[in-house]
Amino acid sequence: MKYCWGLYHSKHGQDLKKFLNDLDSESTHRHENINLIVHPQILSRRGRWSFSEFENYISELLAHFSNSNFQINVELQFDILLTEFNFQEKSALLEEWLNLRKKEHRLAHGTWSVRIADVGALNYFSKKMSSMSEHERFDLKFIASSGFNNSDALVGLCTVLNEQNIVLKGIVLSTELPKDEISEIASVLKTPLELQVFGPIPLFYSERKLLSPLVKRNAPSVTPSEENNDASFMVAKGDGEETGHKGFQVEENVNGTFLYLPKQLCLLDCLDLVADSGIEYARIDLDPQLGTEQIERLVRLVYKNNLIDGFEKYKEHYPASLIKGFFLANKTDTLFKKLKNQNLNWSTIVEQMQTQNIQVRYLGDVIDAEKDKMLVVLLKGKGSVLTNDDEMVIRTPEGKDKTHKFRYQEKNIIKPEMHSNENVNGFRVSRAGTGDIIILPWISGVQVGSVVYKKIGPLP
Amino acid sequence: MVARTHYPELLAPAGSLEKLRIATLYGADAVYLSGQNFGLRQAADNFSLEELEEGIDFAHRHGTKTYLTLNSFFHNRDFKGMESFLQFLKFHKADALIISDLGALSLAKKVGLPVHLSTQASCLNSESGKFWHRAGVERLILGREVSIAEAGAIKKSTGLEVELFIHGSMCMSYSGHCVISNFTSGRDSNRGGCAHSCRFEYNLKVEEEIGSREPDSQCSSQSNAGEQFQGRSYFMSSKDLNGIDLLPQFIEHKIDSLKIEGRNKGPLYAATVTKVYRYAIDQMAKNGKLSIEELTVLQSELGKMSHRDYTPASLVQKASEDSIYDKRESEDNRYPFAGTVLAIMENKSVLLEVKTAIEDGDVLEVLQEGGNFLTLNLREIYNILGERIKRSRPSSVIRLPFVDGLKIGQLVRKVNQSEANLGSLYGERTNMGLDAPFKGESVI
Repeated sequence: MKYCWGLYHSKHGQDLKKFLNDLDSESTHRHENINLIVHPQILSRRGRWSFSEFENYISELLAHFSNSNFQINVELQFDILLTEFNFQEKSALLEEWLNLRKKEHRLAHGTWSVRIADVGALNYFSKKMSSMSEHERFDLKFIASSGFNNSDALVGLCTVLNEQNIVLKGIVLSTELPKDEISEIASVLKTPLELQVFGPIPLFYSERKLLSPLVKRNAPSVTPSEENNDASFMVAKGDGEETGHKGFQVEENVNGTFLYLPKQLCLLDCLDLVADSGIEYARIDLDPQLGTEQIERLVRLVYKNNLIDGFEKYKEHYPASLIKGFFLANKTDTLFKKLKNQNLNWSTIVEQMQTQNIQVRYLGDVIDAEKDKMLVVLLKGKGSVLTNDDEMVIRTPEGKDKTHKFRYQEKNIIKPEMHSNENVNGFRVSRAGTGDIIILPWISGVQVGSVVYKKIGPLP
Repeated sequence: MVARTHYPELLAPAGSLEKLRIATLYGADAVYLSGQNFGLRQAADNFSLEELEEGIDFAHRHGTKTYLTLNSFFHNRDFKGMESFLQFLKFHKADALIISDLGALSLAKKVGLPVHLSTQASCLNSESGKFWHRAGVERLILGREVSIAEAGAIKKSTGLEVELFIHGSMCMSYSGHCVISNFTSGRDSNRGGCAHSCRFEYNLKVEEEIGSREPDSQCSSQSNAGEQFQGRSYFMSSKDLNGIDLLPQFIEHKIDSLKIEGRNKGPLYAATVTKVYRYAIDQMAKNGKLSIEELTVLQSELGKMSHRDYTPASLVQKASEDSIYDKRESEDNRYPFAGTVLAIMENKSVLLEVKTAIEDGDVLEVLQEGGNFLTLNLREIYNILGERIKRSRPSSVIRLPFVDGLKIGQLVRKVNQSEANLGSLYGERTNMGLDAPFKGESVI
């Protein structure tokens, strides 16, 4: 497995370059393929790099690693989302930068890539690539962080791109995917897959500025610097009123507002499972606040292959709690179903009756219930019919079934539009059907919302 | 109803069969709804297969289109049963599917159903639109961050139909880019389990940092400018979208469909918002404009529903700090949902299925589909058996004297006494006093 390093600012870039250089000089070290992900401020959600820092960095990497054991691949993170007019503005800048990159060097024995989260940006770069010569081209990776959580969607993505002769060099999978699902995806996808294995967990991304208004409100005379300075940003710790909503890291910058979980992701002690699931690239995102020493220790842990023993010690000094996220299991789709009263769910009732080999028909709902006096039922079911001596069953919210034999009594059937107690054929109303309202004697335990149905015999 | 060539479709939420019927009768050109699975509003009642069949049929009989939402972010196992569900929808002639996922999209194309791209996919620009066009979608439901002018440009550039939200609650996050519930509540916000963490109050300590955020090895977590704010705030809660004033711009930029958010909201919301926007679009088609007086009245009607403060959000320019709803949510009970007309006994009485307690002396307003509100001043009320009562129970059936002009299924709201004498909507108000039960007499 290969490692990718997410670098939010140039200081971490310099740190990493130094530590990799140190490792390189240790003669025992084997050949490694390393991806360095640079997050420029203007294109990424959390990054602080300027383009000039990025360009200089590439030059420095060339100088340092041209004859090393490391093959360095540089990746440019472009994960902000842009509406139409902002995209047009940014595309002028991207155009300029692409022209520069065409003229400038390629990495001596590495590659460079652009990592994209918006299919719009992917489409834009695909078009640009189609007009480039082979040696000018760069690799494209797609960050499938939102809505590409299944094999068919990812295969579909590749198919659409293939029609433009674009082959992705990598897909970054969502951390919401558990290992079993990753394995399924890996088994049908030829594109190399990447997964975050360490670092901050992003939770929320808004284009709106959500912190600076608070600062303004606090000191109306002070204009937050960010309005005049794209390089400024605000950070906050946020504690919510509900359980589980404590210690959020909130950041506002020129690209919007972002929220991070106080706990961070760590799969470093189960990398064998990550590799077994079919992941080719393991990504380590360096928390922007990590100090030099912590980064050096992390680099050595990773490349000296001493992860399990060494990591326990590293964890003790790490500034955040570490969790495995959803990698081992993801059950976030199961709890919500419990919020509805399944006792009154018609599908549940049908299933329960089927186990008893009974076929049932929905009649309607109880819409009024006055203790010791009456129940009112609105017959809603398609083709509902009730005649004398029909047995109806009333399912209460508690899940109990109450049976009642329907008896016609004068005025206990109300047609929605009545001109008299006679129907159009002149017969007295003595049978109730869909849309009718029937009045029954009070039945203990039955409440408004109870479901009324009829057993119509054994299953065919 | 006025012919609406070149005027946008009004697309209303149908969280249940009842709400589908209401949205249809109160003027929606199309409704969006969900089956029991595959949609994002798992808290809504949603539709069983039988209800879907009935609902689609009802809508079509009234000339209303039906769009089925399958806009979860699906995992592999979530596809179980999807193809047969799509075949069912195809058989019953659902008009389109709302989808955010390429996997579901490929199934929909296989079955042969038109696809609208869900706002969950955060399609924000024409490059994205072109990608989805190649993938096979026929309409883009654009992200709420897109302005009307941008939507017009995207339509022009892609040649696809575009749909924008015009009214309702808003995510503060880009749609599909919030997973707070997943990590804090164990509920997948993009598979119907959103816990609305953005509506909570947070205690915040804000610091401003200037310049590149590079940690100093001695002091890596210190900010440069220090603490700027400490206190409590609902900083992630958005005001509700309200774009009625901008209707001329939607029309100018040829937006194809105007969507009302709110499948989880009640029947009165579905009726009121649909009725208001129906009236506004029809007036635009008829007169080419809405007068200031009309807009004032329409805004007043939208203000009568329980809602957060309104904002145009990013429809004209990027949503500013004014779009944040920094206060605790509270129910506005000035015009609560009273109930629905359940049955009419000609010249005798009317049955109302009431949701809130009603007592004699209350003033009710009946929302008629096309025209005025009908005001009922209640002097006596009865239970379904015809026994005089002073006050009804919530969720019960009451009997009122016969009132001419009522129709089964019309919605009724209760008017808080302090609001009862305010101005009317859409012209003259019909005022009916009810003082004699079961005689069929009404006093105007």
